[in-house]
Amino acid sequence: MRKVVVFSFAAAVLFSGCSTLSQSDVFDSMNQMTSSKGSGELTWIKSAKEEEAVRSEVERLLKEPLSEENAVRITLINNRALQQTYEQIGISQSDLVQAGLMSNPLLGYSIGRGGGIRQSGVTLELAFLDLLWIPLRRELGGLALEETKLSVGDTVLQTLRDAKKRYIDARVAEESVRLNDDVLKSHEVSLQLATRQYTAGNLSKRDVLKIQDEYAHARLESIRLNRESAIAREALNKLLGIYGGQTYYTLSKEPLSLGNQPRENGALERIALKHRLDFASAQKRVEYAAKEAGYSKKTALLDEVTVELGSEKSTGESRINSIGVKIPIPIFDMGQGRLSRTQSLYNQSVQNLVSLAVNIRSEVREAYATARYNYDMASEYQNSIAINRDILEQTQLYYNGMLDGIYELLGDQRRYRDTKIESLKAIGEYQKAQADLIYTLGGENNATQR
Amino acid sequence: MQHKDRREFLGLGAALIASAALSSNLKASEHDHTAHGGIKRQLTFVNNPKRVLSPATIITPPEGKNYNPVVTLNGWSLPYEMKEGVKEFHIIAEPVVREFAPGMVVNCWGYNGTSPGPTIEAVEGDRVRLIVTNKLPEHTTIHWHGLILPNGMDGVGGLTQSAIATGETYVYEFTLRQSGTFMYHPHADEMVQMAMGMMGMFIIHPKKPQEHRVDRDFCFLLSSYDVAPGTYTPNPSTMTEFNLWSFNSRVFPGIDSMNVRVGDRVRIRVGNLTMTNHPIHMHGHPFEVTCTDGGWVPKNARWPEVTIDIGVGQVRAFEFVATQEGDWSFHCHKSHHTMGPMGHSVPNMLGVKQDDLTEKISDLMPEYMYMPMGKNGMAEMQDMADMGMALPENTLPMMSGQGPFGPIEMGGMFTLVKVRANQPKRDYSDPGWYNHPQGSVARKL
Repeated sequence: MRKVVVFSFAAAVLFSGCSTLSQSDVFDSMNQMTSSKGSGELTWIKSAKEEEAVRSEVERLLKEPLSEENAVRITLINNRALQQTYEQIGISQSDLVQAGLMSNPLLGYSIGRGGGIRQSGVTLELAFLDLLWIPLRRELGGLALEETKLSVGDTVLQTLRDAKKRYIDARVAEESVRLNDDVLKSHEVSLQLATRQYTAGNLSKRDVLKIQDEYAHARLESIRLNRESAIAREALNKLLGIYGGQTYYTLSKEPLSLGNQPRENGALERIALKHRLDFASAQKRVEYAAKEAGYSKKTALLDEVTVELGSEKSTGESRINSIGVKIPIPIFDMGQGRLSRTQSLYNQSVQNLVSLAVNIRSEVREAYATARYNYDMASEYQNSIAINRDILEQTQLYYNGMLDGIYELLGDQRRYRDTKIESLKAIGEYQKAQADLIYTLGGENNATQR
Repeated sequence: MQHKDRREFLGLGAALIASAALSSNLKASEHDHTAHGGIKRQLTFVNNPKRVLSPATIITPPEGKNYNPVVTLNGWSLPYEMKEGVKEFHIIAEPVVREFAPGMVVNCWGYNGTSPGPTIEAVEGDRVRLIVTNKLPEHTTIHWHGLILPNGMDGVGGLTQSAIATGETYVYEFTLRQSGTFMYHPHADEMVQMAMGMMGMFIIHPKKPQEHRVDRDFCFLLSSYDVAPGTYTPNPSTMTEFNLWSFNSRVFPGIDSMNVRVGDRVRIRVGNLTMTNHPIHMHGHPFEVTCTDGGWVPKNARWPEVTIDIGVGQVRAFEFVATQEGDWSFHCHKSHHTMGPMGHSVPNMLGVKQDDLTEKISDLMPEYMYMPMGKNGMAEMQDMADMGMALPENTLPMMSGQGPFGPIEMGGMFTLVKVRANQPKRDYSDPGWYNHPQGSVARKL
């Protein structure tokens, strides 16, 4: 008897005490995983010290004109919505620790007195089968943690993508304002000239008013572009997780370049399924559901078997040690409810996986098509810019020969600028599509992988 | 005008060969314009336009002729062959490339390699045979403007003859019953064919050479074209907005001057095949109108003028005795007709200050040297031309031409009559700028 008790305790202590992965181990492992997919080093703010480190890093990065790389960097360390998802790792890890613990033994003590007899008893109740189920539970907990890690990793990559896109929006909007300033200036000159022509008696009031109206429209356009720029910047600020004085940063003025054409790749769907973290997470979910179903089956009937050790002493009697077992009688609840629930959960997770796969395959095709056609459009605009530059050059020749007037010259200069704005927007659209494609394929480098 | 430069020589050669090409296998020595002025594109109006550089005035030697040949400004007279007492001329209607002035060529239609075609010269009483071959992409005819001839030789498509289809050859034959100044031009799809430069002069000298005799006899046609800046082919639909006003499809300063000797009696014959009248004005000498396309004006009916308005479809010949030495302007008095290509809707900037906006405009177009224009008139156009400011391809500056005292600021229908005491007889070469006797030039106070 004593041996049994000793063994039970020993086993319980052994299983419970077996150290599981720490939260930071899990975070580091995710860090490594997303790093290889382009996120760079992540930081999990858990202490004042870490908070301060992040703050000063953000401060430092915001001092120089903000590049795309730094915008992504700031987002990944400073975005609190992202930090919030890191806590999922903590929650899952705690669940896992919890799963490794055996239920505490119940110590009972009873005392009774009557008829001159005094009786006392000590019992120790132990959910004995826990000893068997702990490894299973720990396995489930491990899978859940793994699933969480992948899911959080996916959120990191999504955030990275969003940061890139919002950064591009902000850059395009700001650059459009700048380019449009020239258009506005050109309208201004037109109006100044027209007013002087009117004053000199060379132009009718109606014609001046028409030119004035064009200027008014140009101003409206300028206001609209400024509004767009402010909105785009705020969208970026939200992702960067900054406020107050931090928002006075300047954006880099490096020209946005078209970059390389997305490469034709027949294996995009395969690559996506291989590298997408949300898909991997869903796969873990299936594994988990399968394990959970098996676990439920095993424990369906004997889940609550309890071993009870007792020691009783009545006055005048010698101590009686007893050992007992409590076994639930499967009359009403034979575990069928739990069993079928886990079955359904399993089925659900499988269907979810298949549906996700279908969606991912479609997404990747769509993302590739979008990137590719956006690229084509952006390169067409390069031609259009060249053509409009040539038109302007020709108009300059016409102006030289007094074959055309100053208004044609200014008009074509505006047309050239307008094309540049259109082209800039097209480059932005392509770069955003490229960011989508990279995410859809499960991270950096996969887009060009064959 | 006896220039010996190679371009003109080539031009002459090609033109002469072109007239002989019918009966021989000789290929016209087509001059490639790419070697001249760097014309960037192939002129492709038709597959193979005759390309000759515009000849300078070609002087027909008077030897053996019973008339004093005319001098066609920047042109030439068509040679003939005597065949059993008939003067036989070969005329080929064909696409040609005409150089209007150095640096500008135009896809024209013309005759025997040039537009206008060569001058036909003959003598009153001659029997002439004009063998006309059509190498245009469409049918044509030739109408002998002002000539008295059998109705069936009048050259009106559909009315007096069938049109000459592409590739066909027609023969016109008649006896010349008058003398004077006449023209020839198509009477088939006239709108296009005349707008493309199909025309020529037909001079009939008096039977008696001493009648109406002059020392120098110049002739040319007025024609107008709408060649949009940057293009090569005239727009045949244009009715009024022409931008090239020419003497013999040449524009100043690309026109030869009329060089004469003091004491010469000079005749200038001008035909007008544009769509408007031209008051032709000569400086320095009054003149008398002596001949129209209707014939000679009786001596007692002539009256003095310094400007003669030449109506559409008319010919006027006027004569003067060159008494005043110097370089005398000779031009159409419609001032737009002495301009080169110009924008008809350029904003009026007269009196409009722009200088202070220059920097602003230059900022918008940093690669371009911007100059404000038009505040004080258009004379700065000449400055721009002098500075070599680039213009659209194949486009002449609006006004150009340098004189000994500066820019002449004329283009289009403008040339000079140069009168010199020491100009040798029969010598038509350019004597250069007039050397004014001391004290005979307007001076600054």
